[in-house]
Amino acid sequence: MKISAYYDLALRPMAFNGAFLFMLALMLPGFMPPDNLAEPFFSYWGQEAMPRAVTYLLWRETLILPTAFGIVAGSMAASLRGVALAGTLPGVRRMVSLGTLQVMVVVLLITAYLHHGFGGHPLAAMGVASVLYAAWVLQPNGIQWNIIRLISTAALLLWFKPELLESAASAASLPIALLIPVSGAWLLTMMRDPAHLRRQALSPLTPQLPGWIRRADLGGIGRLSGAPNGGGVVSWFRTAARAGVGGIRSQFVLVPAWTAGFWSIFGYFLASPMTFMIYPLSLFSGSLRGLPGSLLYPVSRARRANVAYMCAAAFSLMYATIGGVTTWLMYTYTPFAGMMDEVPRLRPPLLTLIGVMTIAMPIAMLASLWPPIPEPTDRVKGWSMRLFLGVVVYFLCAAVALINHHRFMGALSPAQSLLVFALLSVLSHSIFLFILHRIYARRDLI
Amino acid sequence: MSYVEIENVTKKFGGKVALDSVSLRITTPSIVGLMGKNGSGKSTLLRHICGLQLPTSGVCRTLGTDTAVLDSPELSRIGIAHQHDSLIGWMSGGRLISYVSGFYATWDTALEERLVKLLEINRDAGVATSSPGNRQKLSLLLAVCHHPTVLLLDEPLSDLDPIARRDVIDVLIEEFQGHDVAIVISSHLLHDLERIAERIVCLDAGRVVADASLDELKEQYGSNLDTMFRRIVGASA
Repeated sequence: MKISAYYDLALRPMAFNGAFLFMLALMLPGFMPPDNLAEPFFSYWGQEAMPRAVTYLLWRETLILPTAFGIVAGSMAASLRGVALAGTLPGVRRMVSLGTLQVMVVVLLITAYLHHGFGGHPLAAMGVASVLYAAWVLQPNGIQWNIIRLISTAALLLWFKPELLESAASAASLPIALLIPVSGAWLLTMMRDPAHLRRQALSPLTPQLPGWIRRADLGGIGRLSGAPNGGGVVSWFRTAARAGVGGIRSQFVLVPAWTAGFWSIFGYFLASPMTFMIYPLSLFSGSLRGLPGSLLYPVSRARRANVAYMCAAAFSLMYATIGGVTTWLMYTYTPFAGMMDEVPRLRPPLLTLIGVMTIAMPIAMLASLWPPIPEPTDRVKGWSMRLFLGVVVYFLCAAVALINHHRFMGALSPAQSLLVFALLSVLSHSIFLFILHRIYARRDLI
Repeated sequence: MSYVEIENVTKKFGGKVALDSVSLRITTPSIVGLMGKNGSGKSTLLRHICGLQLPTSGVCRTLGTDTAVLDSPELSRIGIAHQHDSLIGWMSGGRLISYVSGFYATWDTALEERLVKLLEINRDAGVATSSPGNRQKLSLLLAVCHHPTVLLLDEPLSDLDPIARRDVIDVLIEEFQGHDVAIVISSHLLHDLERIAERIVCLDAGRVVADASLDELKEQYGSNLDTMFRRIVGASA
């Protein structure tokens, strides 16, 4: 078994959520220092005197990065170790252990890089991150000791008191750094222990998602409000919504409200305007699906294509509206717009790229007058993902164009700009509908 | 009227041939038993008949219409119970029944009640948390209660206990045999199949290796389906 097999698991559902958490980790933790919202994070880059707010930010990042990576790597490892007869795969324990250790190295390097850049405590930060990472990797892998719970709880408490970490690091940087080899050894020993692997393999339902995500499953929200009527596309659209989360009301009121509430609370505690961006992004998880292929709905393939189009368009309408409003709020009430003007001079490049993407994509969606977003899951075989990627590429192209809008849109009057957007919208909708009809006419539904 | 017409249908999944020049015609109301080893193409054939899957080549018609363009009038007359349940997991049994019943003007509430009682289906239990057997019962109920003209049952008995199996077979015979219905039922439970099937189609590696009435096959291969199956599959290998 090659170690690449471990990384192949990145395609699994948990990895998708993991990527989301990773972005979250990079963007959320006090992107703007909580006690100085008027001053962008990046303006401190390279300065000798590090304000207290940036110290807070660094240590919060030190806590959240290993947590996010640990959840992802731990769940990926669990999904591999949990398959039937996992114990019989040659070298599975060794490869999984090495894989998680490699990810740990990446986490520690990023942590050290951040602390080094801001004049923090790279060694001590790596020590803290290593312990936290190891705890989160081991937790979904059948090793749930009290010490792991203790570490997780301590990390949560330290989130609110990062100055304690700063004091400890200033006083005892090297002893804290010793936690790095200790964590590595702990991880390696536990993950290679056949007893834990056996215990996990006995569990028939190895969770693909962390428990808190599964418990927050939106599937149960809403009630069926009467039987769907046969006939028109609209009634089948309602039928699709019922299959998804229970109905139109759930889809367009309860789910967005639930998501908004969650991110508002999260954003309040983090004091980060980036939660405005995360909110519309998170709505992807509750996207409206077309008619599931497995049930034999008495509806033709052509009508199914129309229903799928309507689902995507309706969802996009909601998505783009929320995205547009939040983008406007960010530009109006946060210093983000000013920061975006400084894009070429920003450091580091990765954060810049993510910042540009998150701000530009909703603008692109709004400006394109809601081009439809297909469901990013694989309900009707692989074409669904390809179509999704196609639309993402479209969004990215539109985003790049919009970032440079001064160059090519400046010459247009508002009416002309509106016309361009309208044409773009009609074109994208027509192409999308055409592709959907071709797919539904030719491909298997199950 | 022709219920099912399949002419030289080949289905490929990538490089794998699932159906290889399969031809099958069902022109009279009957119960057709579909036999074959695992992976012989039984489920694929049933999915082609109802249009959920389309052939790579060949012609597949159900109720006189090409399965690629089946519309509401035809699809309302087809019922299918999948081998692996493909129900909406977050719903309760009762909610799912009310959801599906809304698709059909011909939904028979009396039959629904009878099956719920006979098969001891718990309307309040969540679909996802029900046992495989209970999900199979639910799947069966959803496939038959709108009185389909073409009923496709993919391993409908495999997860049921002996009493439920007998009840299901009795209901199928009582409700559908002698009516204007063609039933295609795939099963590995050959003794149960022997009780209801009038005609047997045997698939092996995606090809039809036997297609005859039960009596003809018994005469040719032996007295029971077990022996018959071994000989047919053995002969084709």
